[in-house]
Amino acid sequence: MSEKFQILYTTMKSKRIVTVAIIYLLLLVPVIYVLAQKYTVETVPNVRLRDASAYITDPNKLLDDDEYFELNSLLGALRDSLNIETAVVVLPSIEMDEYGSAREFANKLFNRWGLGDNELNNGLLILLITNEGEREIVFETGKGTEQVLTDGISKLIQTNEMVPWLKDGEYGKGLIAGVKEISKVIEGTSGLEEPAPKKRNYWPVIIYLVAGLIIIVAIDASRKSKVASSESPYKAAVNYDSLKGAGCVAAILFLPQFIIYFIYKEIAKETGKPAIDCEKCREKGTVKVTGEPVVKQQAIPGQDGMKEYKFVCSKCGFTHHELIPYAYVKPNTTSSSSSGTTVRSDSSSGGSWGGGSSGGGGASTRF
Amino acid sequence: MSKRIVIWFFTFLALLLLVTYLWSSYNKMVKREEKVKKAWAEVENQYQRRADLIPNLVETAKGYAAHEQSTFEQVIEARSKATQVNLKADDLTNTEAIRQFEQVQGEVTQGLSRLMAVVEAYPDLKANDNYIMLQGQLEGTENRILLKRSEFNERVNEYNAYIRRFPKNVVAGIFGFKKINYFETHKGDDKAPKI
Repeated sequence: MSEKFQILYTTMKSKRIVTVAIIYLLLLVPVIYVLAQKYTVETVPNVRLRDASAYITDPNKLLDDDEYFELNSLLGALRDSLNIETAVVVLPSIEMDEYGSAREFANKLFNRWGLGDNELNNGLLILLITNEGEREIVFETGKGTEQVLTDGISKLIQTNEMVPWLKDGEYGKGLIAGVKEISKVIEGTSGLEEPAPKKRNYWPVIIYLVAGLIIIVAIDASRKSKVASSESPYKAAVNYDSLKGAGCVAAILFLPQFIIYFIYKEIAKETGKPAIDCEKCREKGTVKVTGEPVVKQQAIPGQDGMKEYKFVCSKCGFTHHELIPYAYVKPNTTSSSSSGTTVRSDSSSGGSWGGGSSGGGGASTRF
Repeated sequence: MSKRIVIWFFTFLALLLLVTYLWSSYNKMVKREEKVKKAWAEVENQYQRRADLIPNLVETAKGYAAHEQSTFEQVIEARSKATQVNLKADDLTNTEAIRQFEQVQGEVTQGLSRLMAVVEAYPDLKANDNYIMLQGQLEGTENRILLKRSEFNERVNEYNAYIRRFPKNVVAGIFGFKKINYFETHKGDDKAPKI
């Protein structure tokens, strides 16, 4: 009887032990599971959903309580005073097979949670992975945040401020140091500056191009002003085509600009070259001067003389006669016939005639 | 007489429907194509940014690791080659052009990985702030390239699915909408180089 009881008792006892052991084991399972867990974007608990003042997701309690609270208050300040909404996520491990890199994981998590304001995009995700062989600190910035906290500066903060701590397993201290530096950067008191991509110096080329173009345009304008101020548009237009002196040098020196300008002029010919159209057949720009001008009235000091020029249309052979005044030239002095007084713009150089418009017809009046 | 009117009416109605259908299909195709082009422009931007960073990086590295001249030259050469190959949005249907673009950019990636590997031997360079920042910029760019590429592929997917389904494929054929190629992500190539 007592023996039986004894057996019963021991079996009961061992049963209880087993039961207790099983209960303990059952309790341990989640712990073991969590320790071994590789997180995916979906399985990271979003701490914000539970507590609006919590910024840190640390499901495996890898941070000390003190550090947790200090960090959390720093992040609160970052949001309140500097308007950067930060989430810190500390995980032992992530499912690397599913994500190419921790960056990709961070990017997906960032977008899943939707950190930051919809328009300002002022979110920042700080992801820390702590397991041996996977250890990594990642900043993922929103489009707004990256304007201040650039890739380069992020990297610098990580390397200089955080990694020395993190290496020793001081996760809390490392994160705190990093967040402090981030605050400084956003305040503008950090002194860190992003090296800008090196720009090539294009200034000499630009100066050459612009200066050349100005010179060419200026020379052309002065030639045109000669035409415009000239007594006879006929004569001027005929002389216009030849490049002489400074113009020739400039054209060679600034060949590219000259070509561009030339092409431009060709395109805008109507307003550009003062072409003389034939009076009779209306062909454009076919009139050429022929023969030597005949002096009709001798120039004397104080009064201009008159020469008669003949202009022939190359298409129909129509000859236009025109009396053009010429200045008295003292013997042995060089003539300075055209001192352009009025500089006109392209559009007003239409001293042509025969086109039906008002300008040209009166060209032959003065002699 | 009235029978003829009815026939005409229905013919007209059918034509009107057809035209409306063509019109709206065409517009939708254009819209999707534009999205693809926009996504492509963003991919190209990132490649351009990467190319812009390289001279600075090499110059900084040179100061510390003068022995690695050949590595630097390789990167610079790959870069200059890559900047000469532009893939315009209109060339996206051209498999050969895409392949060429991939190849030259791949060479830049390889050159950079080599450079980063070489730099490991120079602790002073690795601790240089300027270098660290450039490295961060470069990594960031590589990361963006990946993101933009996958976004591009998504847009291409939408576009291709739209123009290849019957009867839209007939409409696409009429208006000359062609299938756009994906950006192939080779194994291992799809990860940012570990720098």
